[in-house]
Amino acid sequence: MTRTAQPIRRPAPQQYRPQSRPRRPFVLADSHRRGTLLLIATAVILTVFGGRLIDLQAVKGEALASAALDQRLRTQAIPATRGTILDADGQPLAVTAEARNVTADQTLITDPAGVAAQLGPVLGVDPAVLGPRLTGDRRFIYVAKVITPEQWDRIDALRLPGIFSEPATRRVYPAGDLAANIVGFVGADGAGLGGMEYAFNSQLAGTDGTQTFERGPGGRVIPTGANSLTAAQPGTTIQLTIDRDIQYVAQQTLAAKVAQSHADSGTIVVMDPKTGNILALATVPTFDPNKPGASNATNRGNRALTDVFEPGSTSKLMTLAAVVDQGKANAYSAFTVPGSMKRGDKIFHDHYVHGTVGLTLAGIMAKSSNIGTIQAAERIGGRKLYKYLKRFGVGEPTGLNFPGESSGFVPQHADWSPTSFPTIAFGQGLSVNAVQGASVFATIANDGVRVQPSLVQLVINADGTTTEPPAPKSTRVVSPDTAKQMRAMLESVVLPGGTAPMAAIPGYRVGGKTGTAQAFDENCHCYRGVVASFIGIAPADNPQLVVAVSIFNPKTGHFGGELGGPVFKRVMTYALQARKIPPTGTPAPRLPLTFGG
Amino acid sequence: MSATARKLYDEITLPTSPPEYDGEAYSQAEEIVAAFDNADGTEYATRGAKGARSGRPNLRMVSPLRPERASRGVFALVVVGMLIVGMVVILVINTSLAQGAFTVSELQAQQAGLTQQEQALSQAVAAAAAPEALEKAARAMGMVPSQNPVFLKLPKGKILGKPTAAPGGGAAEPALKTPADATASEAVDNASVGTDLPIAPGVNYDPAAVDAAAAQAKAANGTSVPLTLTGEAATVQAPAASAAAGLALSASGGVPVQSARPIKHVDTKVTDGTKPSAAKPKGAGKRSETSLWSDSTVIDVTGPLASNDAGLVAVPVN
Repeated sequence: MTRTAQPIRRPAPQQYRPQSRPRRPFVLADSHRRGTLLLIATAVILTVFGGRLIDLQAVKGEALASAALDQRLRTQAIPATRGTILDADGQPLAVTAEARNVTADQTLITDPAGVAAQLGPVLGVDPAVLGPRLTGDRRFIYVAKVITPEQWDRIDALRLPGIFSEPATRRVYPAGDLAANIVGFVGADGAGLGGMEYAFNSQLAGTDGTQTFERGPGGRVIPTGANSLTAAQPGTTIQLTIDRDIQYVAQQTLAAKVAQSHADSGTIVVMDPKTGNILALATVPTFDPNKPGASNATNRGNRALTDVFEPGSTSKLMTLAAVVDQGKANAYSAFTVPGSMKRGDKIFHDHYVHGTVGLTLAGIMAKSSNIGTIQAAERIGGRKLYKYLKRFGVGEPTGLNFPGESSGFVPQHADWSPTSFPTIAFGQGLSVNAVQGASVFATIANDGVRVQPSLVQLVINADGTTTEPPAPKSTRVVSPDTAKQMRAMLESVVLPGGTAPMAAIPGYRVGGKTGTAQAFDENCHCYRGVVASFIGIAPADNPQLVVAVSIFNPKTGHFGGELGGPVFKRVMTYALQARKIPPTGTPAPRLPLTFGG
Repeated sequence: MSATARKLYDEITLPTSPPEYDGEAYSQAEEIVAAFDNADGTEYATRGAKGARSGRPNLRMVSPLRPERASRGVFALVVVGMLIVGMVVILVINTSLAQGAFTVSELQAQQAGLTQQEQALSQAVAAAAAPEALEKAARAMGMVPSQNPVFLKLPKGKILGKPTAAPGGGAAEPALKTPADATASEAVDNASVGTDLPIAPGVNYDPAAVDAAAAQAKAANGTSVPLTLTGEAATVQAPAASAAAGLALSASGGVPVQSARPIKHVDTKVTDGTKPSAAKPKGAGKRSETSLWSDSTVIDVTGPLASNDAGLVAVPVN
């Protein structure tokens, strides 16, 4: 038999099995492992960081940055300096000065009673009141506001712990009560509360600025941070027409007379008739604007503008001027004036008893005859008289826009009763304020042209530019010739024979009119007491000054001539000197006051 | 082959036999080369063959590729130096900023102190310049306020006004501050005014009572209650009833007429009203100072009144 070839027996192919590496134990001792582990850990951490970074920077980046900026940014108001109020010569009547507010950090005060005992005398506050203010745990509390820098220097020298200060401003009135009722006063927050301070508050206050800066945790400014500044606009300065010296003399003289006559109050107005500028405006009793709280509220207003009264005989100037202007009479016109006259249901008398006399119109003015005035007024009638009164400015605003000003009142002609016409003719039954009363005489002094009174001469802006207020309105009321005649008649009042010879100024031609009017008392709705007035002009042939004095409810003395005359004389004398107005040197015309031998 | 080539060819002396085998000297390559190199001598120039034949190793020095040790240090210094300089600059800037801030606050404090000083001084000046203080100082020096203003007109030296000696001479008139002072200095002359009768009627005015009171006063006081104003004789006269023309206005009743020129305005009729003299249209001719109305018979009322009441202008003066 043949042997078959037997295949070479190969061993069965083995399953492919990867050569498994021998498992090594996980040991950190192995540097290779450590390295890998660290690498993984680092990678993980860095991934976390990277993710957080992306989150913070990209996703929340804007929001966080702005939140941080908001935290750092601080906006501070820069207070604007309040404008000053000057008189006509540029002397300050109201200025803003530096001051200090005293603050306390209660947490730093360990001995409140002791600190209060030292602080009290300097501040003028009772230490017992001060003590509770210093106890507690508040970090910031006001101890005193608006004290002078000198007071703060004294407090600072005491080196009291926990007592600090911050800068502030205060309003100072260096002239005290001079022109106080015009200038007004401010409240604790520096805003005007009366007078010019109130009327011009927005111009005087200026505009506060802002400063925005970044500050660190200590409160210090970061120099390289965002910094924006809007400068504060200081307030504008107001220059009044008031002459400080004339105001002083007027105020003092009036105060003396009011005190001497035990009157309730008094007002005085000094005006320039050609320009309408008010040179002095005073009312007594007055107040000290440095301490407005210490005064009575009734003294803080301006009676010359807020209080109205029945002018009485000073109004006869308007009536007689109307008659003359209408051509119904002149200074020489003769009137037969009885001792009493009945109109309506009333009998009217003069202030002095007389029978039937012959008076010229000048005599009616000089002797202040009521009946003569009624007779003259009847030549023109009530409607005309009413028209002239309105043209003289009765019942119209003065145009000063002073806070609290009243316009006075005259009833409409249609509402006049039979006794209205005679009473209004001699000045009862209509009401005016002191400036309106002066303005009537200023009209006659200015050749019949009424110029609106003004108190503001100039407005000086913070950058130095000046603005003049608009020119005052002028209205023609009577003709120049009428005004000339009236001035001559006013001179007779001051010459012997008139009702006010004590108002005469030696060497000068002076004219004026007295008035002693019944005062209406609101409490009893009756007439009680009088208003004694004298309004005068000088020099009479070329008047440059008008002075109007009114004294309300005097107890000693009664007549406008005896009370108002001396005040007028003193103030007008000073004003003529102050304004350097020489006498005209011409003789005064002596008009006949009576006739009939 | 050319002659030159042949010449060159002939000059090449090729070894006819392989070189002697020197076992130590040959490398393996040289052995191979030797093995291939037959006796004919080939021109195969194998690498290193020449060298192998010359006996030198065919290695050459290559210049190292690393930097100089010195330039590496300089670079490091430069970088570090820049870093230091930068940091120093930043430090200096920050310091100067901080210093500037200190200077600013120092100067601000100085300015505040100076402002305070200046304000205190100007307030003192304002207080001293106030009219009240000036009056006090003037009176302390013995000065008195002038009673009536008098002016000296230059260059001729004409005196305007009525100069009078000022009162005083030691006894200075005190400032009118208190009622007591005022009472002393403002004496009221009662003789020149009328009675205490009320001036105008009011709601409560009772004529009969006033008349009775006046009569009573007259009876009680005799002549101390003047019935007329001072400087005036009794003017209780009956008016001339006739319309006699040419009744001259006389300055009767004791009113002195001091004007030099006679009163031109005559021809008054004593009726209810009077007619002044000849009507001259207004504006015609020059007016003199004392005669105030020589041409004012017809007064033009200017303004709205004229247009409303045109008829009135033409009415002759009564």
